[in-house]
Amino acid sequence: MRNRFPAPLTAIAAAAMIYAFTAPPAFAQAPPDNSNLGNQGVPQGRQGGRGRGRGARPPSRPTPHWPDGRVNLGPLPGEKGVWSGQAGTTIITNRNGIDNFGQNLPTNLKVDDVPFQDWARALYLYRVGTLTKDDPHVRCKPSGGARLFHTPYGFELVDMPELGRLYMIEVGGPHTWREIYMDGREHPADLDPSYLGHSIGHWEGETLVVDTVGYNERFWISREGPPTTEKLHFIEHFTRTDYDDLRYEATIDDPGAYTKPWSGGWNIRWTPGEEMYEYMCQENNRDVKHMYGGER
Amino acid sequence: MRSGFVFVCLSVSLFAQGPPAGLNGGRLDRGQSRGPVRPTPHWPDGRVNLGPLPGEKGVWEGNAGATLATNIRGGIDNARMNLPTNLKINEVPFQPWARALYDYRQATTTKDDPHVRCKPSGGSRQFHTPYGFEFIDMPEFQRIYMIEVGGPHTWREIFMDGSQHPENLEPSYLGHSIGHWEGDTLVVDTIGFNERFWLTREGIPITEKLHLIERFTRTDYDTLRYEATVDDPGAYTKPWSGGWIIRWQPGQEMYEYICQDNNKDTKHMYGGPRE
Repeated sequence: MRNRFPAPLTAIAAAAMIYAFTAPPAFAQAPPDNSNLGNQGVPQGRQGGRGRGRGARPPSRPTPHWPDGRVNLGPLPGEKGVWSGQAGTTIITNRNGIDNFGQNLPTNLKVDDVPFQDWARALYLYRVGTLTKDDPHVRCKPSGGARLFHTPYGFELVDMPELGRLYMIEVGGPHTWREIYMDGREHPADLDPSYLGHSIGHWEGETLVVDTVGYNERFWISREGPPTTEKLHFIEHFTRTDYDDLRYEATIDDPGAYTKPWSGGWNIRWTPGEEMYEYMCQENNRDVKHMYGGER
Repeated sequence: MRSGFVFVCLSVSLFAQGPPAGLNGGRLDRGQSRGPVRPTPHWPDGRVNLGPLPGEKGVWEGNAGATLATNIRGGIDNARMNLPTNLKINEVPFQPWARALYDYRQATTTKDDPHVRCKPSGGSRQFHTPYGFEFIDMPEFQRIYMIEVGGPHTWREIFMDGSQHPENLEPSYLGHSIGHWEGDTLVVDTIGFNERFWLTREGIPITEKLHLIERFTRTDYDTLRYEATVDDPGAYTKPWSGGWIIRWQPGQEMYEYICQDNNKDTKHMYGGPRE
C-alpha cells in the first residue's frame, strides 16, 4: 500500500534522496570532549563563547543602564557580547571531580550541608557517582531552572519592557527560549508541570528576581543533578555587578526533596565580541558514548 | 478508499504533536467571532509593531494547511490561506530530481519530515507550524528574534544592523539572516542553509545553494502576509515565490511545548505499519 509508485520513479526518487542527503553534516561529529562536562562539543572555528585567553582581562566597566534607569542585561548599543556559562560551576560545591568552583559563589553549601531528604541525597550521589550519565540535558531536553546558566556557548537576557516580558535564550542545549512575565501577574493555579515552569519576575533595585513554579520532574535543576519534585518553588536572583559579571543565585524551596530551602549559585562572565549562533543538540551530540552510558 | 486513507494519515500527521490538554493551540473556538479589524499597529518611532499593542496579548499562528505551492490534487493542502499568486505545483520550476523528491515526499504523506523528529524549523517551515510564534524586535540591539512554540521550541535571529552575510558560512538549519524594512514590510535575506530540513511542510526540496528572501507585511492588526522567494539553482531552474496569510490569535500567549517529549504519532514518524 505504501509503495504506490512504479519502480522507475522510485529509483529516481531514491537517487534524488541520496543526492539530497549525502552532503556532509553541518557539524560533523568531533571526538568526544575529554572532560565529562562539556558534553556537547563546540562547532569548528568557534570558541563557544568561552574566554579562552588566559591573560588578564582589562578592568571591567561599570554596570550599563538604559535611559529609563533599568539595568541593561545585554551589550551597550553598538557593541556585541553574550553571557557564557561555565560548565564547571555547580549549585553545590562538591570537590569530587565534577566541579570547578572557581566561579561558584563563596556562600555555596558543601554537599554535606545541603538539607537533602534521604532519597534525594541517595539520588544525588548516584548521579554524581555515575558521572551524570543520565543527564536529560545531553538528550536535548530543555534546560530547566539553573541548568541554562552553566551551559556553555552563550545566552542572552532579552528585556522587552513594552511587552512586560523578558526572554532568556540560549545557544546550548536544544537552542530554546524561556519566558519571564514582568507584567505583575501571579502564577496561575493548576499549572501543567513543565520543564521551564511558569516564571514571573520583577526588579529589586539592580537585581532581577525571578520566581518560578510549575516544574515537572523530568529534568535536572543543575548539571550535577540535585533532585527536584513538582513541589519546587524556585527563586533566582540575577545581578550584573559590573559590565563583565553576572551574579546568579538560586534558592531551591522544594519540600518534596529537601527539609528546608537552600541556595547556591555562581558568577557568569561576559564574553565580549561574541554573538549567538546556531547549535542544535539534536544534531550535535559529540559524546554519544557518554550520553548513553556506554564504555569509554 | 485511497483518498480517504491519505486524508486520515494527513490529518494525523499535520498535527502530529497535539497541543497540551487545556490549550487549543491558539485557535478561536467554533462560533467565536472576531471584532472589526483594527489597522496595523506602529511604534512611536514609526516602525511596524509585529506584536500586540502594549497591554494586550496575542500571537501569530500558522495554519498547518498552508503551502508554498498550491497542490490541491495532492491532498496535503489547504489553499484557503495560500496567497492567490501561489504557483500550481506543475508551474514550479523544479529540476527533475527535485520534482521527483517532492513527489516522493507527497506520496509517502510526508512521513520523513525532519520537523516531526524535532529538527529545527528552517525557512518557511516555522510559519505554518501551529501553536504560535512571535517576533521580538529589538531596535536597540539591531536584531529581531523569531521564537516559536511548535517544533523544538526554538528561536531564529535576524541581524538588522546593516551587516552583510559572512563568507564561508557553515551550512545550518536556520542559515544566516539579515533583514531590513522596506516601508511597512520586513524583508529577510537568508543564505547558509544545510540540506537536512524541508523548507516547507509539504517537502519543497532545497540545497546548500538556497538563497531565501522572505517578506513579512502586517496588512492589518489581525493579518500577516508571508511571501518567500526560493532562489536555489541547485534544485530549481529559476527563482519562484509563494506564501500564505498568517492570522493573529488575540488573547493567546506563548507556552511550553517541547517536541522532544511530545511525539504523539510515532507510528507515522517512523513509517511503520498503520492499523
